[in-house]
Amino acid sequence: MIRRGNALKRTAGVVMALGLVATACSSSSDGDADSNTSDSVAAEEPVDTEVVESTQSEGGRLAAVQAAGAVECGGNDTLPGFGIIDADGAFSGFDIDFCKVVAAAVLGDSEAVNVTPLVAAQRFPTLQSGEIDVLIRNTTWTASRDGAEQANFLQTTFFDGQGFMVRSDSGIASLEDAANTTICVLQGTTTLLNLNAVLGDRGIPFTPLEFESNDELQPAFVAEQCEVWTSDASQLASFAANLDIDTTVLPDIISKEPLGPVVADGDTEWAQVVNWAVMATIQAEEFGITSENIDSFADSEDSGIRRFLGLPIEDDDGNAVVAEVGLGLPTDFASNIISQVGNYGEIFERNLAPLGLERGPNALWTEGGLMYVPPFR
Amino acid sequence: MTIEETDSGVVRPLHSDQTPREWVQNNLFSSALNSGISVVSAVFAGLVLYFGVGWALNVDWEIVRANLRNFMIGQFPKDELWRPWAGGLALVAGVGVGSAGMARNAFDDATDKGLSTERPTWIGLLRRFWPILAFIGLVLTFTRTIQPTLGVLAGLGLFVAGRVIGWNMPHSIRRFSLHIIGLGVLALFTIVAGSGGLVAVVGGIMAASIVSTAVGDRLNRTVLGGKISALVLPALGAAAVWLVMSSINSFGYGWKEWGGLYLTLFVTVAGISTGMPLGILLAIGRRSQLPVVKGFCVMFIEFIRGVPLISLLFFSGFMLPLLFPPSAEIPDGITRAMIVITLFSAAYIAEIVRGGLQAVPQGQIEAAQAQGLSTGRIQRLIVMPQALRAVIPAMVGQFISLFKDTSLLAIIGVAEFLQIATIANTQQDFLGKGLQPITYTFVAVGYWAFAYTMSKESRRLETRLGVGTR
Repeated sequence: MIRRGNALKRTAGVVMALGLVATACSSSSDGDADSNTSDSVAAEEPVDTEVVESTQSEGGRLAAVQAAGAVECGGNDTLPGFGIIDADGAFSGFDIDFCKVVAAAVLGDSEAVNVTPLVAAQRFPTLQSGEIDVLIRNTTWTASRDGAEQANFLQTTFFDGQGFMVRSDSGIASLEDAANTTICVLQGTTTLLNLNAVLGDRGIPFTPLEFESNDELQPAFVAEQCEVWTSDASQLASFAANLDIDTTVLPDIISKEPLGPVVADGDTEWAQVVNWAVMATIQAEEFGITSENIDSFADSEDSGIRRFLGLPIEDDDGNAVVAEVGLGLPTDFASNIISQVGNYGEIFERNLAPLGLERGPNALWTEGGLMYVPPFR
Repeated sequence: MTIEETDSGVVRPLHSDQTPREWVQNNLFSSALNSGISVVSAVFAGLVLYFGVGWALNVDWEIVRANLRNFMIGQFPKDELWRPWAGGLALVAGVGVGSAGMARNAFDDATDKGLSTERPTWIGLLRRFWPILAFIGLVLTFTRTIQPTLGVLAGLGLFVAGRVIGWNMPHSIRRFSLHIIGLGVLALFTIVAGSGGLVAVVGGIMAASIVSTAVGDRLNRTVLGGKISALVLPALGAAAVWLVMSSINSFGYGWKEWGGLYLTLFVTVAGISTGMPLGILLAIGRRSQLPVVKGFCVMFIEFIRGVPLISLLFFSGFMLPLLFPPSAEIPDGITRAMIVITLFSAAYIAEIVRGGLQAVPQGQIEAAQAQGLSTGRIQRLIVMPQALRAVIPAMVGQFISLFKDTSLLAIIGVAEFLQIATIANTQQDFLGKGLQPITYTFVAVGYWAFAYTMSKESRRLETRLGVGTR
């Protein structure tokens, strides 16, 4: 009897083992199934996955993007002005527009871009793994990120700095007045690191109150859970414009926050493509070319503008030729960018001016700002 | 509850023969203390209701109205919206037919055995699902076009028609009631997500199950030929469906841009429907005598239960892609998160089921062995029905917490239902206006409607199966 019971249990065990094996098999076939599904999705665009892979090994990311027919862009979906999802369910914002700039340059279609919303901690792993082609998500350029995170920072699109906002009636007029206050700050950001470092160096005691997102921080500031709100000055300005209370931004700016597109290390060709696409918007503003007036430049006499827009120029022999700069981009990439997305000024006006942001350091170098790009020739 | 002892010693509630006045007297004002408590509670509830409703009627719900599509389906492309609608209608029709068929089967079964039973009524259905219906109604008040209302009405019509058809169809078709619901799910999958891959697998399993139900009774399984054909026929059916489904590629849209409530519900349903079988297998495996099987199950369960869901999600979202070469085709973030949620709930379900298995007395298994039942049949007919019945409350509790846990997907950048509230509050029109209470209230009502319905259904199931009374 006992023996029989054991035998039965053993049989039961074997059955379970088979069941588990079956489960394992079915889950692995699930895995196949998933990749099949994504294949079938990808197949909606005229792509053959194998082509993507083979070209990737030969031609790098530029060829892979051209084969895939879309730029995979890592963005933000909850940062006012820079990256949000609007009521229509579409991504919009300053950073998102630069995703479109890259797509317009590489593929000639600013809409050929898939934005993946990323949280801060996700940014570099996702970039390193190759899931995204370019990261444009208010990411500050720092030496350690350039080094340890295997990230390649390109032309800065927005010069920000960490500022402090207080209620106008709080009596705090400078950072020194903020001693022994509670300061609201976001977790896991350079903002928090700067706060600890700078206030520590200056010997200003304070209590940090950390939040996951500005969306949660803002009610806390309004409810006076903290006296001071520190963040990038651009963010403070955008929230201040809509708050019911009177606020003041302190004159102290304690950090440099150059924000710009980032690509993974190790693919110079792709990095140059993204970089020159972004810089084209700034050059266009310098030339005065906008999405509105670009057609009127078709018969421009200025050889610099003609070269920039990919229009034919007379060479030494008197032949009309289109200059080929050898970046791997179409010769009319700048013209595509400007007609489809606009120049830097237009992108700024569209996304950031409504938040109450001034151009400030982000003005052209010709107007006393920092926006300066190398010549397009 | 007031109870009385009848002559036969059966305890039964009194209020079936009470007038409302008597009920109030007995239950609310039976003593001075009870009267005091009743009055204070009534005043408190009245105040909460008064201010709550007053607030809800006075605030501007524009942020919800403008973002309604985001809340419901996220960034799903506008011109593909017919897919979730068509798929949803197919599902509703399938559920209508299948659920009515199953109800009829149970009804006939009970009648045959001479048990007293009640026909399901429309009022009964309304009572069971009013929270979800109320939420749908609330959502419809926020719509700006007539189409969603028409769509919901069409869905209700299909459901009602399906119930009538399902109740009246012949028994030979009613045997496949569960499969009809499955076909509804499959249709939803196919129309929305596409027909390759996953759908092919699900379809194949469905086909196998349908074939084995159809031919199962006619086969003489005592002979070898019968045994073999009981395996081969379903396998052939599955293979045929799999071949057809996976060859029709690129029909659907995929779920990369899914979001909002649709995604939340989808992840929940997927988590439950795949996590539960997996959990049951793990529970049985953990009680196995084979050290390898047992060891694997214990390790898996204890690892998953020992780690917070957030860290698993972080791992799937951020770490996993780094472990593969960049050229490797790995599933997208949502799929990875769904796999994690499924595994996570499987581990918890396994422990719940194990509790149920331990509640089944050893004597029952020995009695079944003495009757000459095979191990599989003992599990299927004797052990599992009792074990699962005993753990319904815990199991549904797990389902509800799984449903709410899907909100954690937000931390890996998935725009599920709750995250849309955050997204809406960062839009230029609504930024910094302190509208969070409005969006979060809407989201809370949505979560509540579904979670409360699940809880009600679990209690109904308990009553029907007599958990705790026998």
